[in-house]
Amino acid sequence: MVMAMIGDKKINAGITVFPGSNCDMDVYYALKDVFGLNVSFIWHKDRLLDCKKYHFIVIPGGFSYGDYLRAGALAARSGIMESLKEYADSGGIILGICNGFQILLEAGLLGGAMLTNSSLRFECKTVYLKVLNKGTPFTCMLENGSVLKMPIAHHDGNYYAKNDDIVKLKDARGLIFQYCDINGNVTAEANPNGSIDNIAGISNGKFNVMGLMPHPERASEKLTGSIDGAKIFNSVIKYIKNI
Amino acid sequence: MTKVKDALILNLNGLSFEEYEKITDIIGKKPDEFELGIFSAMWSEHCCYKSSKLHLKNLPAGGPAVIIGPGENAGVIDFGDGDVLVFKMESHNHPSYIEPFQGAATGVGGIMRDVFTMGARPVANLNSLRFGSLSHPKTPYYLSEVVKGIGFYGNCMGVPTVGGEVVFDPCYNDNILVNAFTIGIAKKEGIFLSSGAGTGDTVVYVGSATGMDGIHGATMASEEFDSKKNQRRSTVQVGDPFTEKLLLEACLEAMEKKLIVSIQDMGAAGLTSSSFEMASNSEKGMIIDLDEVPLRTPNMTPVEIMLSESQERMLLVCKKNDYEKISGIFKKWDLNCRSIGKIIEEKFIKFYRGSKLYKIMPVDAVVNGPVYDRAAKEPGYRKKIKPLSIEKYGLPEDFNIIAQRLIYSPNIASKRPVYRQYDYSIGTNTVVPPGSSCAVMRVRPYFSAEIPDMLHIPDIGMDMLSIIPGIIKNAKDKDKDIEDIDIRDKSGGGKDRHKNKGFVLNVNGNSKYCYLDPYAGSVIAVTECARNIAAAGGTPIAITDCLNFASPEDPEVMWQFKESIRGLKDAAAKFNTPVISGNVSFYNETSKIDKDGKIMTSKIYPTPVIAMVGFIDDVNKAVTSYFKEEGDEVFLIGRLKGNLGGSLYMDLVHKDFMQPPLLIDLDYEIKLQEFIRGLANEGLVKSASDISEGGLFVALAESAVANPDKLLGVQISLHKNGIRDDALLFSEFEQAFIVSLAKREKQKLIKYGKAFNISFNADIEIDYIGEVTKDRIKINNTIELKSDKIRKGYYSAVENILL
Amino acid sequence: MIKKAVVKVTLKEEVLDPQGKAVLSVLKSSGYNNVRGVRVGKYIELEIETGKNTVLIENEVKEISEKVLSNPLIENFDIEIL
Repeated sequence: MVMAMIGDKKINAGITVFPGSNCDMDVYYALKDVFGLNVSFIWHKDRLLDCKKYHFIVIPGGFSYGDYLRAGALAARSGIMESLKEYADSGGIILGICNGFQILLEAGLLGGAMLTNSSLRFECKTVYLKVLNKGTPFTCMLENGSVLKMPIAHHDGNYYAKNDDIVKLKDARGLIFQYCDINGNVTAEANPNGSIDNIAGISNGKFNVMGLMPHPERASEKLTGSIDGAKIFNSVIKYIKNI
Repeated sequence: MTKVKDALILNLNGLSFEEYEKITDIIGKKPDEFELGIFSAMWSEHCCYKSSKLHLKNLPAGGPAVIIGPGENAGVIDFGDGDVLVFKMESHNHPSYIEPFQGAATGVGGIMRDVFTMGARPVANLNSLRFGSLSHPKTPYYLSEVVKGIGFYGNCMGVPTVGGEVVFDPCYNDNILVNAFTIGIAKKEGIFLSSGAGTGDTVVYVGSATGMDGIHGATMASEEFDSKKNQRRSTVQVGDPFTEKLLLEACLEAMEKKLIVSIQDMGAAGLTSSSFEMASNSEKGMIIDLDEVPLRTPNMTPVEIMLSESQERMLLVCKKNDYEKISGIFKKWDLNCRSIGKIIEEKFIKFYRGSKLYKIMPVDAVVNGPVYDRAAKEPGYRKKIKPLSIEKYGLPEDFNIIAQRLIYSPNIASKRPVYRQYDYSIGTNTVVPPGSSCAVMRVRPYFSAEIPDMLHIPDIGMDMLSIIPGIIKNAKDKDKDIEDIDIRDKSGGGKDRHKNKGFVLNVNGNSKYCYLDPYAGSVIAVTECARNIAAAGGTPIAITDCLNFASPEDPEVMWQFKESIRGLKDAAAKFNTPVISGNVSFYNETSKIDKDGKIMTSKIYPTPVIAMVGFIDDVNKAVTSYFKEEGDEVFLIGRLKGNLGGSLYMDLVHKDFMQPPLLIDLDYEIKLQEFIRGLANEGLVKSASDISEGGLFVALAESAVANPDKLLGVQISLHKNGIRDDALLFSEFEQAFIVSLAKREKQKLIKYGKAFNISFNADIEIDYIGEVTKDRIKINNTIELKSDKIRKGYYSAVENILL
Repeated sequence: MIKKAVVKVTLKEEVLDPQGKAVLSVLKSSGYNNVRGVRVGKYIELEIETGKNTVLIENEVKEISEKVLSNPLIENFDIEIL
């Protein structure tokens, strides 16, 4: 596990667990067994006693609190989020996947909101993503314009923000991934949920917090169909190693 | 009580007069509403299998792989390396007809509870759905809502739905069928049962509070006893997958810590069945304090509390000293956890209310309901079934038109618009997702969400502020490819574990064939499951079933049932696949008064649905059913009979399917499947598909258009003596497979075939029939279709039905 | 004293409401041609212990609605104290 060590120390990753999180174990498995990191769960009722314990934190997918009010809304108001905000403010790397993305939006760590998919249905399928900004910890091993294959599985992934905010997001290079076709063309047909500008993943201004609708943990081994998701985790690992 | 009133009460409780008298004998007096409620629930067809029990005993249920057979919440088979697989299928037909979204959702919730009650983490779901005719105005509504309900529950629980079937037929216009299957994984020593409770142990209620959900006849009957009481309506059961997810994690955590002695979920007949069955299985009695049961609806009566079918609840028994620890775990997960009683030596359940003894009921008498050997008679319609003389029917003028009608028929067409509403990739175990003929799953380790002690996590030893990205340093060696990074091929946990092992799943039923001949139809259903598993490279291991029939009190239905069981028994014995769990759903019929005032009863066709689980040694070798590359060679393995009896072709084109279906030669079938499995394991074939509904044409066309990454075609030349083109192309369930191979592999295949036939004393035929092409489906000189057009129709037919 | 408050949450005018759109199209195809628009929203009932000071609860409900029950970016809310 050479990659995952800093000197002789392992990289520490934390995974938040809310009631209703259900990709927590998938992310745990990927980070621990596929990438060899030192991984631990962070219970939603806890506070992060010491942010320095973690090199990065993943907010995994699922249906936190059943997504009963709005996707991610209740989790965004639970105890752990204050600590996560502090962690983000101090530069900690946070990746929110699917429901984790929704939670980041609801918590205000990222801008915008998620609406119900334009089909009004849950959509589970394989999509293609175009990389727009390789200058983040999550994409530093990728090239702008390259295309990744990854699964989505969500009911509310229709990203919305006001026009002005979209412009600001783009100006700040916070638009990281767009849904595209297999050849990298960003088309209406390639948009699985009605997202504005085919937005699939965005980051904050400091690039240390990213939300992503598709599931990189489900695309981390050949056996499950794609290893393109591994490129995102490997970027984070490499970034941390190079600090 | 007057006779009329008696009759009304019995009718509402679903008991016969004889049963009522038997109850009176047992308790030595006329039962009151509470006693009647308990007996009628436990003596219902659903709980005590009174019409089916005698016949179910004939099914093979044992074998070297079986750890726990029928009788528990779910069956258990040995998966090697100390692992076991736990699975079961169950129907939720009636509730889904009343309220399709919630009915389907709670069906999925119920079957998952059956599996995790046993200590297993659910890892995959399947379902089998039957809806009415496409022209029926409510079919789109039922289809859309059932699919949404299944997705709602399964997706939220985080259990992938990896396969299933959707069938439309007018016989389901008034009785839709929703059968749900769950499979879970556990350690052999981590299995939990409803038996083993010891005297003095604490009885614990966990999960959602009890409300008026799903209380049937008993409540209404009770209004008769006390007319002053406000009229109250039982409500539809509402599923709360979020609570069930918490219940799953809390139960597994308590199990892992060995705090649970025995456990049973509150499914049908809720607290009644769970308490009586647990007492019975433990050969003990129980004290239940009704005041301690958490209630959602205030002022529920004792019988309402006992019969409520509120979801997401469990009854468990623990050692007295462990109660506090259990309570702590459930509190952590924000769930109710209440000690509601204890285990006693005498085999009675003593109910308390207001600190006083309220009722005492005998465990054995309540649990051991009546068993009937109901009359059976061959149905009259069978006389109309005549052997097919295909010569009487002209050949189609344009095969292309017929071929398209078949492949665009929603019973054949892709179910992608359905399964894309299910999360099939969560769990990162799905190796072959929906879209091939069966699902292939690997098994990676699972972790409980144990929260580590922060102190034990090593400090990363740097100032967090130093990793604020700001400007990203461009990693110097970024041109080093991703492949350099060690992505371990690791699918197993322990050292000795067979790390690439997996399991293969699919579910099948064919009610039209079962209507024509329930014996042959049931054999076909089992055979079809085994074929799909063999084609993927797996070995069939065990079965669970849902036997959906009309009223067993109708001798013709009973005949269908007995014949189905006979077919199931013969086929399961042949494939060495014991039936380790399952359920029977009778009374799938609806009476209506027609225009002339006559009572019309619409009964479903006999619909035994089979789910089969197989093993595969190396999931990397799993074979899918669709073609892979232009230029690959296509072979037919097996023999063609050209029997169109009962086929979709006869039904669609000639409007007459009342002919006997193909009888499967099981001895030949076993060898044929062994051969196909061998080809997969040798890595010789790139695709393998059996011939099912729609016949050879559909098998070929599907293989060409179902590849998710590219569009392909196929060119075939195939002639069999004495079989005309329609029989060749559209005859169903033929004992043959279509396989494709890389171009220069033909000799290997022939060689393998020769060796196989010698060593197995078999006679498996291998025919080269054509090759995979770019964009056209061309068969003999009869069919020529553009692949892109077929693909479009194939994927949009079901979408067009959905709301 | 316990008072009941009703909060109605709807999507803002400028935000596309796919559910409303779907309901509208069903209504139109069912012949209800007079229907011009449909917005689908949420109806939330709160039961609040008011203590003696009933004036404060309006502010409290407003705060709850802003911070939890609605997402101000995409939703509006309406409060009614019963």
